[in-house]
Amino acid sequence: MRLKEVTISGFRGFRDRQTLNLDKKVILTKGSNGSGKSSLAEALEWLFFDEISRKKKSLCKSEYAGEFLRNIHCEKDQETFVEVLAIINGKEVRLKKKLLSPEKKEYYIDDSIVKDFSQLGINLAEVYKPILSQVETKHYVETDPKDRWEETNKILGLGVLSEFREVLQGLLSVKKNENRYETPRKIVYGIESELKEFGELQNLDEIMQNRPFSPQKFKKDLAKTIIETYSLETMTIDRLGKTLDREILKLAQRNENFQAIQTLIVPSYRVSTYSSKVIESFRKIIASLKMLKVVNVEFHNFLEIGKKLICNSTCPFCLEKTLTKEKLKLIDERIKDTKDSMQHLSDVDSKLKEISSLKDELIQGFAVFPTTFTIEQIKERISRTPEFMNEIRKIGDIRNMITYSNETLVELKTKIENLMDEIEVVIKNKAPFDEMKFVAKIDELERAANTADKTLTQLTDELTSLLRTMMSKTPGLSSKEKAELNKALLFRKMIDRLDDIEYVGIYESNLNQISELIEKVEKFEKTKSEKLLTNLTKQIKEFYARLNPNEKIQFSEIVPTKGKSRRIQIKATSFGKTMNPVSCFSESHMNCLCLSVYFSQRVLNNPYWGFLLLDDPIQTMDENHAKNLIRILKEIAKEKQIIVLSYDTKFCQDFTDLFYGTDYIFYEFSGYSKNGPKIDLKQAPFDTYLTIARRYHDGTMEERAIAANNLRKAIERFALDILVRKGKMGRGKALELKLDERLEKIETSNLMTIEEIGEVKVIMNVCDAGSHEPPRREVTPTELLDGIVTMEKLASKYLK
Amino acid sequence: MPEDKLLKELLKYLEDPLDKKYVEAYIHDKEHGLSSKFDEIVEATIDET
Repeated sequence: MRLKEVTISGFRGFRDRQTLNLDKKVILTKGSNGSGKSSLAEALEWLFFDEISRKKKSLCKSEYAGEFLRNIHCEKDQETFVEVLAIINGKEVRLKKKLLSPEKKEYYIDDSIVKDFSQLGINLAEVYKPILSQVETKHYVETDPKDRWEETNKILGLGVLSEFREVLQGLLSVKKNENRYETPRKIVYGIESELKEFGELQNLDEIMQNRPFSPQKFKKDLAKTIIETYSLETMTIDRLGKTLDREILKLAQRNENFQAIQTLIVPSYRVSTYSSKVIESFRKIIASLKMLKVVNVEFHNFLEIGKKLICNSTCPFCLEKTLTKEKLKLIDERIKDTKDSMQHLSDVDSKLKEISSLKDELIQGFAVFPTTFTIEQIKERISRTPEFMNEIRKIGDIRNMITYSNETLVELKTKIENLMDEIEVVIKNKAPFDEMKFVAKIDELERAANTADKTLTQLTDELTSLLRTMMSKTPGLSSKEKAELNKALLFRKMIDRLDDIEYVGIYESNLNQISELIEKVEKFEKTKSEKLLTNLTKQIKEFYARLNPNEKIQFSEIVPTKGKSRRIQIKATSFGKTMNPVSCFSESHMNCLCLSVYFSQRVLNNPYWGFLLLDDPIQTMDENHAKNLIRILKEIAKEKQIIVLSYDTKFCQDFTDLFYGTDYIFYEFSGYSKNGPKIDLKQAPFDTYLTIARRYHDGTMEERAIAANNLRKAIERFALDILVRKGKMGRGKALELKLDERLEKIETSNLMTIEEIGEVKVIMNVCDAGSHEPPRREVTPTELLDGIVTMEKLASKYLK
Repeated sequence: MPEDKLLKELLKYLEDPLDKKYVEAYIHDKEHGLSSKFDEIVEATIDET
């Protein structure tokens, strides 16, 4: 595949629709920083590979969330798309990709909507990317020696594996810090540390920490340990809990302050059990709501009815079915999406009912608390023990916390109910569904759930700690009795918290699985990269030597280190002696190495693509290295179309010198406004300027100004070519002359007749008048067409 | 970039069904430009509790 033309609209730096003619073997695009060059590379990357390297390489992915691909100055109804006219197997094919929302795209081949570009007969995800982005080179050049293995793999085209590892790594860190895991983890951590106080319970501690965790084994061993400790008959866990309650009572009743403590035990467990259940339910609801991305019943109904109506209809003229298989498939997919959304909606509805009953239960639990356990009663009951004075104050705080927790839960419930109401309105009234607003509300809900979760955890912690302090300060119990009481309380807690222990055990087993998967992917990546580097070393070495022909440092090979290490060893020699490239390779050497790996793998080893694109390839190279690169490109240009983007004036000058007179075009991104880059055709063949002039000569006033400007450039190029080809003048010298001076020289050298030069001057006047902004006068389509025809006639006489 | 090919090779290389599930979900999301299937697998795995 090679490219003939690219059109970009509303994408990244391009607001206005702009078309670039790429129908040349070599295309150079020069532009200063921020002029929009990289947007061109990104447009092609996105079109073919559905990604942009800048995002992939960014450490802060959130910066690339939402509509980062759409130009920020776009009008509301402006389309965002990239379109190319490509040559595939000798045929012209128009490929277009439209961005509908951050997650929705539409693909077109020759104006027909398609699922993706797989119809081209090749899976684009199975060929190497021919585009070397600016950030890829930059990362390779600047990378720390310890990360060179990873960066080399990326240039080799194995990046997807490290991306997958990064996703898994990110997942691990997110999951380890998740709120819903944090609370049960704290509880289980408390249980684990309490277990350590009892040597005879070490087996339970070990089972709890075993990964993968077996809930059945833990439950069985816990029951067995309790039964053996208290010499009980075999019974279920629930019944064991009640038996333990009696044990706790029996031990605690020996104490004079027990009554005060007893009043705390029941509400303490109740609060902690209810709170974790309720928060978990809230989180499940939020997860379901997140899945509810598209609710558009109107669209669903329309498609169903529409499908029935047109499914069997035929065109009255050609008698063929109007609905193609592809279109039918697309409609079916959209119906399925909508149905899925409806299913999520009904899940959410049932979960809301579930949460509602849980919430009521929780509020009842709180209601019991103040009636049986008022501050006054506690004061009265425990005031006889001076050590409890601090606890009396704490109880006041706890009462306030309960009220606050209750309020946060009610607020959370109300928010969910309100959101549900809004969704119902969308369904009933068939109103449009505002996805962005919906996502914002979900975020708000999550924040509210986190607050409620933290408040309830704090409350549970406070109650437990209060209970334990009071127990430890209670006179009348021997240390043995206290230990027995603590053990019984610990068993009771483990029975109450079985759900949390199971949750943490399985959750952490899953995290373990992910960690192990990361290691497996890394091992796989290592095998692949070793094989590739062994096969490519010769080519890489050759490219490197061509980039640095007279260098004192010569690259010899890249060798991945053996074993588990993720390092790579770059070997080099200096005048025949092996040297350490880590200390001697400059950024420029790394730049050359990056290009050598890229050329070896993604250019030579990549037959599908008839083009390559280099975005700012000479980042740290000096003039000589850059010139060597241009020579390599000239060689490659025999086989492939080359597109190079650069900011470097000297590089662009050298590039032009080498490619001048060949099938070459030179664009300059000469300025940037909110409309997008201002693109000038700097050095193009005569016929390219003339084609553009012809395209716009009969358009609007602005389009005719473009035509006049290009017609003038065609004359400039014509005069230059006459002087170089017929007058044998050096190109550099001819370039220094203004158009008037060039024509004068042509006249004095008798390279054209005086009449012909006169004709050219007339056209020049038309162009000068029409190409200004605003034009000095409005030139007519006829004047322009006459000029184009005259220039074609003269070119045919002198340049062919 | 031969991404599909590599990930499919990785699928063959892995033996554990859950490992495969993670890779399949990742492939699905890459193809559809979303991050839903992968999250779904993770959530489903976590919610197995």
